[in-house]
Amino acid sequence: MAKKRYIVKADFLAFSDKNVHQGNEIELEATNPGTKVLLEQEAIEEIKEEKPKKEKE
Amino acid sequence: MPQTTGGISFVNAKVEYGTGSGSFTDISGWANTVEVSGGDRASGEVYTVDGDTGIVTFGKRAPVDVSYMCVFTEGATDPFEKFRGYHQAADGTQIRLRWSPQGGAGTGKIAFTGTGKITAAPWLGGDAASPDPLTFSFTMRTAELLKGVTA
Repeated sequence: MAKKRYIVKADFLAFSDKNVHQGNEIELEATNPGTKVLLEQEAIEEIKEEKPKKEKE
Repeated sequence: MPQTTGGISFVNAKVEYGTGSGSFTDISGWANTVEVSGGDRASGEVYTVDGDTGIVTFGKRAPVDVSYMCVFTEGATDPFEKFRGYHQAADGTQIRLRWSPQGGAGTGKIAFTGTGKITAAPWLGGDAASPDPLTFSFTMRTAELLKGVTA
């Protein structure tokens, strides 16, 4: 399964072993139903990678 | 307006604690109640001769007290001994408390957390007339609570 990078928008995300606080980046399985729930609740936001601009010849 | 169907209870809550940098320990099997108080914003007022109402100004938010009541058991790694140790360590050990009313039920549920030290000690009393299991409680004071989401 493909992992994607997300930024935490909620005050914190409560993982079983730790809290990840607002503004930190995390990697989650994109196809995991839990990830979808967190996206729907706007607790996380996907970090879109900017494509490198092509240099003009 | 239709009546909400989203009400929840505390029966499936998840109650945890951790130290400053360690992972969280689930003590739902010991925890009986979680009580929260404080956090009020200070306010002041003054009255002038003119007019019928005061001039109101606002200050800072007060600390929040979180109290856990748990079943007492004697194990060296059980909650009573852990919290007693944190309280009696020199300067007091910084701890984190975390609970989620529906925490055992999956992702996306509300959770609260705070970091502080124990201010009301977890001692053990008893009543010879009571058949109930012994419980103990303690209070941690924190600057504020954060509302988060279970992941």
